[in-house]
Amino acid sequence: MKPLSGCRVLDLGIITAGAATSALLADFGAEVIKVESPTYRDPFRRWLSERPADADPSLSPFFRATNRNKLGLSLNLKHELGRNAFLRLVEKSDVVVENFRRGVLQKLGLDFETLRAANPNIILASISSQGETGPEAGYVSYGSTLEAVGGLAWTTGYEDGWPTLSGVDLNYPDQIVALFASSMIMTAWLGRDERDAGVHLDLSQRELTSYLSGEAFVAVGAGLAAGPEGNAQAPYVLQDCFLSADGAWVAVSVRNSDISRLGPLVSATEEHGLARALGEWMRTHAASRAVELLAAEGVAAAEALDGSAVLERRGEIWDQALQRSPEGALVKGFPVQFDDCPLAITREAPSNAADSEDVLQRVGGFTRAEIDVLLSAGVVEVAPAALSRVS
Amino acid sequence: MRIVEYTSQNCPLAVELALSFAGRLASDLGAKVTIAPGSRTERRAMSPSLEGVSTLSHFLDAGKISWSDEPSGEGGLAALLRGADVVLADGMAHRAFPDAGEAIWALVSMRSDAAGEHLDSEFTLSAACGLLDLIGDPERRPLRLGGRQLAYAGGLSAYMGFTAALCARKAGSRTGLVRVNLADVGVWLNWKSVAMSTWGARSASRLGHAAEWRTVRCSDGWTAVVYLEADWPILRDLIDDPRLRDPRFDDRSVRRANAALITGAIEDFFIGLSREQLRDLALEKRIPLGPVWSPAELEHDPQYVARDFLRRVQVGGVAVLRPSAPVIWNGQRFAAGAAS
Repeated sequence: MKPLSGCRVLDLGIITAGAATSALLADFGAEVIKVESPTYRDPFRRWLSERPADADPSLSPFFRATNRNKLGLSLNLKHELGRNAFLRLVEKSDVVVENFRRGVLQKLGLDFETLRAANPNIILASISSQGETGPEAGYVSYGSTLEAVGGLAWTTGYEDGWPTLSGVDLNYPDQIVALFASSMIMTAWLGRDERDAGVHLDLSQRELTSYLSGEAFVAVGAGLAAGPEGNAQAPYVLQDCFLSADGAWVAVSVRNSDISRLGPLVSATEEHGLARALGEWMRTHAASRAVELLAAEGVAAAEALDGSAVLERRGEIWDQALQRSPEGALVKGFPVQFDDCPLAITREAPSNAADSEDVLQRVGGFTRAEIDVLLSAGVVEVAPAALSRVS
Repeated sequence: MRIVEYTSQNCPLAVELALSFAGRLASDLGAKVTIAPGSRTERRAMSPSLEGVSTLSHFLDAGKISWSDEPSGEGGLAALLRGADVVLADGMAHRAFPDAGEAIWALVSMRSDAAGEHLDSEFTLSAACGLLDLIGDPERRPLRLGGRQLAYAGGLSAYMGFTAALCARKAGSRTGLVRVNLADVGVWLNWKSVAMSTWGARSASRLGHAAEWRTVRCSDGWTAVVYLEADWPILRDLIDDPRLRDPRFDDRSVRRANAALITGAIEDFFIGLSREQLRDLALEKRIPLGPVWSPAELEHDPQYVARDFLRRVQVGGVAVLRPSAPVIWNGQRFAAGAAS
């Protein structure tokens, strides 16, 4: 039995922050139902269509990677019939996850009090950029916006340069929030028997970004300076990237105690040009050889790899972070693993509306006639195969 | 909830930081977290420091109990570990106490192969995970993110893992050891650029001034230019620069190819505005611009003040600024770690 067996999640999450949170819950064994609408699908479905040969155009690689292990339901929450159907599902569920713009859930008539009226023990995880309250609750942000307004960009950058972002290809705050939000949801789930009411988790990505720079707040709060840090960092007397003879960048961290061991390679002391000497030495060695020689002296060193090189080295220092789906697609894996009940990818990401019928019947207790009413009103979509069974 | 942080003398610094971060979060949420004797002597002495203790330790150890202050301290380390619900440890510490009662052990390591455990720093591991390659200017050296992001992401993963294990235990099952290695955490964070390399997509690497999203100057600092497809027309109309009216820029691939020109035009407009003015514009137009605030400025940020996120806590003779756990739970904010 997996950790969250018996926990059912209605996943309104889109793109990364919300959808990746629910994906982690699915990995831990929750039954996660991804809820989209006939009029609004997760934009990730159409994100980067690099592979024209994909059989299902609604399954972009990004969507597949983030929504594996989930079921799919297409239900129009803007329609009264759809809203009511959703609340019937809430009655039979434990968690709702959403990362819409603030105010959308209220406009849909699905705020926390409404959900709690349907299910007094429901856990609602509201993931937002700035939080549910405050004068900037309506501030629209994407991940890197939060690096700027949360203080992280202030400490990221060349010593002589501008504040720097992780950018569109990493979008760091959107990745990190999934770890935190899923943790808070599980914390609430863990304590469900010790309380007699539901839980509304107000999760601010901006606050999380700042929390992850906690020591910078301690420093400036005490009047100590903080600013772009470059690559230097205590306790290392030298930490930076150096260009190798074959044009690769090699990251090196040197402790004070390492300097004597560097003697056979580099003749310098911290006070007398260690960085320059190491840079000159690096320019005469291929990256792999330089890393090997430094490691032999006990000095931390690694080539700054790009994405494809990281993948090529799977199995060397990492093996869980990306996995193959049952159909062989490369999808997000796991940042954590258990010895006795290993996490696994057992289900492809759902095609649009793939499981609508199953979810409505099995979870919501809808009859065939009730589903037909929803279908004829255009409130629900079912998968093409299922549609052929509808008279 | 009783949690013990237990690290060996040879625990890598990044692992220790990850374990401490997991413990700090648990402490903020109400767990009793005890620090067992270990290797954090070096960390406590690192610069920058405040009253002789590093700012890292001020942040990470807030609200925790030192083992020497435990009433049951004389009962021995084994008793402390056996009495815990969760033990946060490195592999060597676990090997010293393989049968420590019913506690859930969450182990953090640097990488999946234990043999290379001591060959990395957090920085070099970030390089090996592709995280450095994405940040900075292409003609300059790769950059790390500020602070201790990989270690703290490992800490979040450890918290997530042991909480899942507690859920399993409550349901009558067991997960066995919870394992987090920072290399897998780094690749998990960087999944897009790693996986994109197999999808025939463009190779993700740092683009510097040619990046679609980057910071540009404004009258009193910098602002992050961040936007998606739906935001472009709003941003273009706001800037109202003839250079941006080129209809070809309605195509994102053309904008990407001309990102330096576009952000240049945006900067020419922003240079006449302050960060506060740009914040107001972002709110009014509902576009995701990001004024770059320093941690010092954020103490008085209206949003943080309204949500009571940062608090001053007296530590010795100094009032230290401390962030609270970033969650409001049924309308209630948890207190930022009690005075350490």
